[in-house]
Amino acid sequence: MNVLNIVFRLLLALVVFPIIGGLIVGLDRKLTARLQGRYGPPILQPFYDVLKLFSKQRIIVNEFQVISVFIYLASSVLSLVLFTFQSDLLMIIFVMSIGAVFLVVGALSVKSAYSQVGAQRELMQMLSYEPLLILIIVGMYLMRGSFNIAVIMSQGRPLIEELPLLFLVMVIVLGIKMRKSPFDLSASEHAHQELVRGLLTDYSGLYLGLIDIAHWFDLMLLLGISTLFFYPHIVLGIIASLFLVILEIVIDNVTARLTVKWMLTYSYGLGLVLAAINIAVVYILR
Amino acid sequence: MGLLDKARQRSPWLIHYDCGSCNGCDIELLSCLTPLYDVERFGIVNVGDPKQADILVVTGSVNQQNKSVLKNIYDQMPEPKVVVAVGVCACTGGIFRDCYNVVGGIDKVLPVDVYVPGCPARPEQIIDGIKLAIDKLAQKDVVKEEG
Amino acid sequence: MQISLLLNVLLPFISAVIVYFLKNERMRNIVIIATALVVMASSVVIAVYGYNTFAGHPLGNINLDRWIAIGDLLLSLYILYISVSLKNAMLILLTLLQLIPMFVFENFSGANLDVLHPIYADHLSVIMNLIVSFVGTLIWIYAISYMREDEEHKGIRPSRQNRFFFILLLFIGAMNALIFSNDLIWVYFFWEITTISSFLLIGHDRTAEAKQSSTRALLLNSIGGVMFVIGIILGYHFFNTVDIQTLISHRASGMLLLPFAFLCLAAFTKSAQIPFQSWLLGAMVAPTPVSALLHSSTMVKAGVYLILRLVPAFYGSWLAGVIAIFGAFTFITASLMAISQSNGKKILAYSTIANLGLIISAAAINSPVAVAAAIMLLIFHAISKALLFLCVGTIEHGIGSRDIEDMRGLINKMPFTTLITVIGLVTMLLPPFGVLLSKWLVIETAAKNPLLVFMIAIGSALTVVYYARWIGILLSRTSSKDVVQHEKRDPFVRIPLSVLAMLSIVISVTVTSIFNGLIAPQVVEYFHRLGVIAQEGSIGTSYGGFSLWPVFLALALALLGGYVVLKGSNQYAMPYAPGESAQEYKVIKVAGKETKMPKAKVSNYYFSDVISENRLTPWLDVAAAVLIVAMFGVVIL
Repeated sequence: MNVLNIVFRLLLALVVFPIIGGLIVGLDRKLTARLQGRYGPPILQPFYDVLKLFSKQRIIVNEFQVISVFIYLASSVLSLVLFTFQSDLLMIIFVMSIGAVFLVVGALSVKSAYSQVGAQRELMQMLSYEPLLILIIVGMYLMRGSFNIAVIMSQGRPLIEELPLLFLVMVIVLGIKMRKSPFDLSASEHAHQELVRGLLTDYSGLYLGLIDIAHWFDLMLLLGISTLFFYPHIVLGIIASLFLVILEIVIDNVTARLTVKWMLTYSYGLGLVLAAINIAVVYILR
Repeated sequence: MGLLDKARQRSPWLIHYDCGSCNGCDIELLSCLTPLYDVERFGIVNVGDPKQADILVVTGSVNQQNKSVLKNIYDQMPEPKVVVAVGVCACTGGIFRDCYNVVGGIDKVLPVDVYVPGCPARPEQIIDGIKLAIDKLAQKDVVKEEG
Repeated sequence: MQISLLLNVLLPFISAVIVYFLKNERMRNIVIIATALVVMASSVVIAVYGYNTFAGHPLGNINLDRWIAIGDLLLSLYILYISVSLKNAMLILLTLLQLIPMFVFENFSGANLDVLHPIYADHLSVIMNLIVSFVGTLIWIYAISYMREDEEHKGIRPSRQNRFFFILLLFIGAMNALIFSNDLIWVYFFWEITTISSFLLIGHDRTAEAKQSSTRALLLNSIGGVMFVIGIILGYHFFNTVDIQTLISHRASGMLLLPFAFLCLAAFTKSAQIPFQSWLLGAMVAPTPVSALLHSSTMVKAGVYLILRLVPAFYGSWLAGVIAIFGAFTFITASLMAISQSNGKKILAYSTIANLGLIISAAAINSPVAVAAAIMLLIFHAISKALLFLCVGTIEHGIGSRDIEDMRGLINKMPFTTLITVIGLVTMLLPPFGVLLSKWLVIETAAKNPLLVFMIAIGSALTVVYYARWIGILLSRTSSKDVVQHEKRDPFVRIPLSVLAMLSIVISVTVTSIFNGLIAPQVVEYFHRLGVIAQEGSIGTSYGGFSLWPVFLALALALLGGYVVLKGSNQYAMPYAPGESAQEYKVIKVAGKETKMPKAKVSNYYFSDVISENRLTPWLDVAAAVLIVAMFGVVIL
């Protein structure tokens, strides 16, 4: 791997992808507005928001919040970088989980009922999506015999042909990770309010901005994984991923928020069963 | 700093506090969010968390019971911040100003930047007022940086 | 060489006797610390020089077999005496079931029980020995101050510390002896010593609860003892030897696996796998050093150690397949149970059971990589978990509770202990630290078996929940209001905690060297291949790889970033509270009547209605029993 290649990949992971992530969030707000018969904010709105947040006064409750935010950001950035360098998928998920845990720790470290309840719910969200994500990756492994993205991408036929149900599981994972209804119970995107701002209640200014940016990285990582399903047809994969995002937005607008137990029942009842069927079929046929 | 200024003006998040209004102004304020007016066009988001808000929009007159609450919400907002008083009650106390428990307009408790009179204030007026508040927000920051 | 082995094994026994008769506390502490240092040093010497060098009998011509047989008989009689005095018929029966067959087997069956090399040291025994010698002795040192405080706390007069330390020291000797024994009968003898130590230590406080728990521990471990005896006798019946190395060199199949199945079952009881978990949960009534030493880092590891020893014997068989599922089942169910607990020690106990299940599962996955992962998990788990138990013990002495709900904002009251606890929790919970690295390796290797990976994936997600919220609770703080109190801790507490915390980080950073130096040779010895490459801060297999440096670098950058921003101007505010309740209204007027304001209270999700320990346990026990039956089924059929 030459230097140019490394620089290119870093540029992709550190600059291009997060910008696309921000644009997707902007598109999300626009589309949501249109679905509600409104005009909606400009596509660049998420960037304006983050810039504004950076310029605000910095208010914190304790030091651990700050450290948690930075660890969250670092782990999200690192997991996307590892993705562009085509490393081990399972390792990437583990790295991403560091950030998720610290986001919760940061919120729990504040003695506000809203942050605390939000954090507890976020934990339940993690409990819902993490096994699903691992199983998606296990499905890919069963098809390709490796966790390495480079190897997963080295073979001809797209994974979606044999893992269609796991791609559907991705809908649940993405919904939870994007904090979309019906899984937006720990904190939700933009105008929807729950528990004030749930998990994010006691973050403001710079720190909230950093969390937003980390969120873009996370989003891009998940969309990257969903694109993997279609490799080598990258264009098709990108279209499918965008379709996935739009589907999430539609679901967001037509469903109501679930309770924790319902969420666990849905994600386990539906997600795990779909994953189990798909993996079992693949396992038996091979 | 052009971009940063632009970003500040394009992303005003506001928190709305009903200080004891008759709900007339509140309904008008919320109607600004509806498809007809859609203030999200301007990047305005109605947040529930003062820690993340830039503009405090208050309706209704302040009374003895809730003046500390109002102050508390204002104190939790990070600088730079502006206050908009919506409706005549919030501006001066309105017809309630002589009540035994009423303190008066919210400027008795907080430094108000923009007054939007009316009973109730019309959505167009409110949007106008918030636009003024956004301009003030940018100015405030400049003043703060120079100071 | 011989001398360091003798020091390592026999000195704890000798010191134990000395400690028992020393009434002077000062002198006793000196003996304990000196023994601790010698044991640590000798284990390092063994680790550096001692592979496969203990040919012949360690004590020259003395017939140790005879002595051990006598010791075993006396020990069994003592257990019988205890059983009779406890008036527990079941226990008497189980003890007799061990005593009589063993006695007949040793004396009247005419079996040739000579073992050419009764002492055997390979990398696995060295790893285990290092864990026991370091973690164990650090816990002795911790126990010195802990027991003093504990007796003051509980008002125990006259002091019974000499008895306590006698057993604690004796136990380490027995553990080290067990590790280096190559003769199943020796292993059984030391196995029984650990059982009786556990029984005596759990019952140390002499309360009704302690008595009940210790009886249960003895009962369940006696079941394991019976299985062990059956395993030995069957093993001799099939293979004509009690030499472990000879036993495992046979690639047995079918019925010939039966002795190994029984030995594994014995290991399950010792490692408190479901359905035998209840004794370990009850064992939490014992003083904390006991929980840390016996019930998390060493004694319960004897079970998984035995399984790791026997792995070559059942490698690749159906038996291994069932054991892997059994372990994973314990992993997921124990993790689930841990979610419903708020008692810190019980959370740790369940998490110990879960991790032991994972080790057992990994050991049986039928892949050298998985065995390597199992050994890795054994090391990392022992250190972090011992640390966590000591932390909970210290916290309990500090705040008088072991409930995690009571630990809110502990960072303000006990900053030192809290930070150490957080280190312990983070090393248990997050990559790139060792426990998670091993878990990653296990999942990657288990992925070939969908059922297994299903259970492990859910189990590890459950783990995140109960550890993450614990970290958050400990750190809760409002900087503008809460004043960090200065924490006074005895050096005997401070030193073991700091050393273990540092150790848990250092071994995670140097994981590749540890892997290449200790774990890899063992796996190669077992299977003549490895399948893992560990170098330059990354661990790689043919189907994946984990690079540690980027993760450490990212964490370091994050901490640096946080530090820089914290140095800058920040305003410390109060947590958000909606206007009114921010002020502390104690009493409000409702309809003219003064009413007390209910205090807002937040607690974790425990799902006590769904995950009820009492209601679920019988079902889980039944399911686990079915798996055990299946284990024997695949052997016999």
